[in-house]
Amino acid sequence: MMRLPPFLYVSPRTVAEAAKAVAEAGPGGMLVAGGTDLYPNMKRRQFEPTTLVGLAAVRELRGVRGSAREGVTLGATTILSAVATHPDLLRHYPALATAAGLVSSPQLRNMGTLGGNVCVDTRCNYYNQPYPWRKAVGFCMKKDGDICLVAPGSRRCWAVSSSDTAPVLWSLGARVRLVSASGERTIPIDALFRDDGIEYLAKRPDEILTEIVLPPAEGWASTYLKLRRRGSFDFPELGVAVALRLEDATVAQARIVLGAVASQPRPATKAARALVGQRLTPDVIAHVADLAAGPARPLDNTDFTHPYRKKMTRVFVARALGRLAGLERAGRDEEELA
Amino acid sequence: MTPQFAVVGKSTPKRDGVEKVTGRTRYLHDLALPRMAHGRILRARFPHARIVSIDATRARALPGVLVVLTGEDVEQHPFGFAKDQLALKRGKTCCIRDEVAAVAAETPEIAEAALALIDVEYTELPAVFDPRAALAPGAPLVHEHLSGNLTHLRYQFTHGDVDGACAGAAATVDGEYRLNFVSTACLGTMVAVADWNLDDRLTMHSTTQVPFLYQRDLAQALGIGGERVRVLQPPVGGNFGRGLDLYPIDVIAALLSRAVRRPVKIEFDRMEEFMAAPGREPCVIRLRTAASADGRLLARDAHVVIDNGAYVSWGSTTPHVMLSTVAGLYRCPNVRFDTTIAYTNNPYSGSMRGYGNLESTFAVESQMDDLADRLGLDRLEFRRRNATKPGDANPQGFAITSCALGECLDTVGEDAGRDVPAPRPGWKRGVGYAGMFHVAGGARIYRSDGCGAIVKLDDFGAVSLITGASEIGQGSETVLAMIVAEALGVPLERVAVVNSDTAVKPWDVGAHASRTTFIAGNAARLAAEDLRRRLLAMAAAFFEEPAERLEIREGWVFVRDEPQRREPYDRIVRAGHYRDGGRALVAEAFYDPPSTMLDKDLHGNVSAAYGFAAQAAVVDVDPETGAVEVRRIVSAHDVGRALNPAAAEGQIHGGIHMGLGYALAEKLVVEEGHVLSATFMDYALLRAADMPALAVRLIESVDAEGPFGAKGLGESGVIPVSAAVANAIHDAIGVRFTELPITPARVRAALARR
Repeated sequence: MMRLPPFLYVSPRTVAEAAKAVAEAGPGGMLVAGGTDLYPNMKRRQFEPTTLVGLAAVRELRGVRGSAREGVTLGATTILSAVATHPDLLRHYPALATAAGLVSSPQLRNMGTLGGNVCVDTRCNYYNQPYPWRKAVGFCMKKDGDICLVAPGSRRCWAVSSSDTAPVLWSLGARVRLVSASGERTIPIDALFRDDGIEYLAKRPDEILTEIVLPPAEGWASTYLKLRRRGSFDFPELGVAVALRLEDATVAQARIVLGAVASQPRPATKAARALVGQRLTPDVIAHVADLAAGPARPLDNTDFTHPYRKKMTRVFVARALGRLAGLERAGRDEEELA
Repeated sequence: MTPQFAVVGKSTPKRDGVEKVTGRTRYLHDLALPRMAHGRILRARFPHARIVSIDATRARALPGVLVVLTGEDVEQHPFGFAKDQLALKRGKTCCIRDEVAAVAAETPEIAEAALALIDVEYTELPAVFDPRAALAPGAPLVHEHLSGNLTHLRYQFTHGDVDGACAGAAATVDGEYRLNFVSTACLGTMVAVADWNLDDRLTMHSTTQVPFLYQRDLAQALGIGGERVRVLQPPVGGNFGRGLDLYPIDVIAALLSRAVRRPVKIEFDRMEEFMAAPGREPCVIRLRTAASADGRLLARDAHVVIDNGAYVSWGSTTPHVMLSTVAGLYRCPNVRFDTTIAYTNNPYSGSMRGYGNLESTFAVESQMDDLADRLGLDRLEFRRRNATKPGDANPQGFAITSCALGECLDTVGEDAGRDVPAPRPGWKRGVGYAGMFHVAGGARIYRSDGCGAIVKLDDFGAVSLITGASEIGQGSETVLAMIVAEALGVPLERVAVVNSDTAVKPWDVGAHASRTTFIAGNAARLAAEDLRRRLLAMAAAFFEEPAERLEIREGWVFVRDEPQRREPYDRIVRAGHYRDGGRALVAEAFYDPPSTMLDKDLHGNVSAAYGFAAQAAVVDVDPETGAVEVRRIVSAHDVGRALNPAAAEGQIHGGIHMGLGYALAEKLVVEEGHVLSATFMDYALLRAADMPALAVRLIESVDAEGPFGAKGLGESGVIPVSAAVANAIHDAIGVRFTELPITPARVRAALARR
């Protein structure tokens, strides 16, 4: 039966109280914000926390401050629908608003938070299943088992990073603030992730992601394209985040980050480097798209076949660049694939 | 002249609508009886395995467990279409669904925990998962007492000279069409609440949609008389054909209740629903169609292979309907049809909305386009040229009475491209058409295709229709009340419908074959007309006028020529009741349509009326990604008469949703007998936001036999969708897909191959 197991719910009012509570809860403790991913996962026994420290009542964690000129700070529990519709974000950090607006369904965007999406659990066809299903196939190493069912013989877990906002934030050069009972640190968002399906965050369990800090947006253009099965609903099968700084129609700085192709967002560094100093002509775009598809190594553990997802990486990178170049044939925010 | 109606023909909100959308409906899931225990079923670990031993000692010792039953513990009798399964399996498991043991406990949690404490030792057996492989020499036997894996079902039909016609044809096309497992994906999972009381009578609260057949089948499976079983039908969250058979869940709930002498509820969770609820059968249709140079169909030759799964349920009887489309969708003078239906160790399939017709229409309509192309004819014109017309008798002997197929084709042809924005740059636009032929006046697959109705009118003017029909969300309560209000001449809100208790309601076959409006509607109309005569007789005494001079309209009884002489109808009822020799008003009727069962050669006139429809799909295809976006569907339906137009449109919308899922997204992944897509994350049901613009056109051919001219349409929306979409994709990119669902990866791969 897919019902929540019993657990203790703690509802602190401040970050300090929350940090204390999660430290006290020990290994059985977990943080929960919107709960849109965690609770269903608990029903399937992918997580079995004894204590949940809820962040919903911590008001200082919610809201958007700052400006495009100085940089914007987003509270980690700002809900996704607020991020998606925020006028400054829409204008100056459009890729972020787009990505937030493409997470799941309207109901879940009204509950789910930006921090929750950044930290969302990695996914795999063999892992995101009800307990009896996982038991029937023989559990995998991510939960209750020892082996990887996607790549038997593998010593690591290949579950897939499934955040829409994380690759965008990476491409925008965001930093994240982590607070614990023993102190705090602010790190570049790329240092938050690890290429491991199980230990996919470098954040310690007792650290709370409190803020996401965006650098000044001036001169930057950004976009995000998402591949998924149904346009209404699904996790990304591929995310392409591109941020460019153009000087007189020439690329001065570029970042391309792919989502859902590895256990963490994956920068297409070589492709981005090849853009610098170039104008966004169709030839340049085609060349860069080929380079960008290189780092995408999808495995056969999500919807769609992995050769298809790999091929789509090239198509989507080209479309994202085409859109930023204002060329025809640019894709839409989302690719509705049913 | 169009008759003037007071009630029918006006869009009327569904009676269960407000309660459902405000969350007030008490579904069967919500039912809790005093002292109710909770049952859970332990299922097979392997699709094909010998059960060496079952040790339930630890489960029985768990506090709160009331009983653990296995196949060896209880008396039970085989049930199902071929009487080939026991509810609790004995000796071996034949598919992953198989019920190995069952627990009743104080709470669902305890019952669940107890399952983990039942120790079953298995010896795995070689298994077979493909019907062709199942028929190969030396294949493992699914049922060892049978000589092979071929089921006893075979549907063979011949009419005319197919080989001769093909030999003389200007063009023939051949194809093999592959259809996969899909689920009904009902929001309400399967539930059974059994209450076996101390005087040995069983009350079942069930999701069945055939309560009287269920009553009989359940009694037989339990070895008791049908008179000891009462079936109650609380609101269900969808059925779509799922409720057409008796399933182990029902028998097991009853066995558990008998064992513990308490009510027992078994409720599937979502994973169990995907795994254990029957869906649409997987099949391979090999089809050849031949036509003359002037675009006349000459012949169709079809062979269908069905993966029966481990036990025979209604899924393997769908060739009945597949044949009727092969022989009856458009005029086709020569027809041959045959089937191969084999047992495998896969899950078995039940009936599901459309009942084989989606599958055969996909094949038949794909070939209509291919033939038109081969002959250089306009695809719509080719269909028009072969369209069935009123007065036709088709190769099976179906007598076509009302028929507006030509008008349906014209309508979608004119309407298809309207209001569709241009495709995005680079995307390819295509338009595809498909017609549809389905029973619409019942389907005589039993000796009786009837339904009973009782109408009673009380002193307050309240009318109760007690109908055999089952409400499963399709809107039958509303339309039947409308029919009674219209026939009686009283306001709609005075009519209540009673329809959920076999101890009260008269017999009916059940909600299947799009038959309820037609059959139950005619029964209700006949009973209401009889009641009206009785009421008029009372009024005649009241007004001291002959009944012929009296009229009932909008709740008033009046003298036709002197309308100022009028009384509220309930006053007439009271006057007729509270007097010497007074009477109460009750009337009944039983309607069994003028149709025949098919004979052994599959000839006959199975329905009293036939339904026709045509759909156009406008799709855009992105060649780079393979994405298919359906922009608009126009669906024109010959409905006889639309009694409740909004409900008719809603049925068609729902059907199109189901059909689009079948065409593009839904697939129950079954590998080596295991059901892998067991959540709504993996099983891609389309959401509201995925739906295209829909335009429904209701075309009224006014059927002479139907109630107020109406014909059935519960299934007709879903049937042509996948064919129309596949044809539209072919129109857009020139690729013919012969397997569903048509996913972006498959579209792109097909384009890359060219």
